[in-house]
Amino acid sequence: MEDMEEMTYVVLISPDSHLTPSQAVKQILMLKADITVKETCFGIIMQGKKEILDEVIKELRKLDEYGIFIKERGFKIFDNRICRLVRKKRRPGFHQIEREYSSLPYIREGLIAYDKGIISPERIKPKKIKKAELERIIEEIIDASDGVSPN
Amino acid sequence: MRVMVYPPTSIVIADLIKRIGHEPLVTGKILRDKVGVDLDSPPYEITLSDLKRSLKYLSVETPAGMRGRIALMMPLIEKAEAAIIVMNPDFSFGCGGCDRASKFLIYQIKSKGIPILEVQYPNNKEEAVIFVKKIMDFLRELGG
Repeated sequence: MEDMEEMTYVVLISPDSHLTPSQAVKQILMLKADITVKETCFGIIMQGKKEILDEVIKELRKLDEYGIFIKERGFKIFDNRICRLVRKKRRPGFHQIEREYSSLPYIREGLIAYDKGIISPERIKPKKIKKAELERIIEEIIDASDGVSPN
Repeated sequence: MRVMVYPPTSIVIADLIKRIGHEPLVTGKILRDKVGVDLDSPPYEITLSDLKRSLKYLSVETPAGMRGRIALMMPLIEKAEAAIIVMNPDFSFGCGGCDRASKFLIYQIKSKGIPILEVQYPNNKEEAVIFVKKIMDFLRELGG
């Protein structure tokens, strides 16, 4: 029955994407799906039946596979309790969106690297050695220098 | 598989989980039920049933702010089958959050005995590559 439920999704479009929120809204309207769409400064908000939204999301991702990020939202579109216009200040949840919006270009690079199978440049930590091993290395160095001090 | 996200409002991690085919457990899921109720400002405004639910985990002397947050988030943790925790979430404390509640939530996630991945938010491209790879590998290991 979850497919018939009314859902709301927040769609964030990466700031380095060629796609703008208004273009995304136009593309969705061209699909003629039975959903409500609202354009925002960071992306779009969509509301409708879950199964219809899932189809729209598939089409939306084709426009920019690595630059579109989607999350479920609790509040419906035009809910005055969360509307910035009515509240006259930032709405709850915007700080998190603002924080993550700035890192979306990096996430895009990460996703591209993962899909292409590029090995991550993770720092290789030096292997820890045991005390006995360290003593053996020191002895080898001393033996090599025949006990002669470098001074 | 239901994967808990911490911070529970993270859109990046929720999207990565959705891409693999798992179900992200984010605040939107629980808020959807609360916004239907006639409250002036959910989720800041809590109901009596929320306070009763929080008593399962906290004592009555605990500040109301923390009890409200725990009551809101605990249903997500109860449903979780795996979890991804970001260890440097900037906005989970301060005026818009509660550090004690966040620590308690992480403690509850860790004591549940489910597979957990701890990551750091990326601040450059190299860190992002590691961030995405760790999360994707973890999610694929879960059976995505």
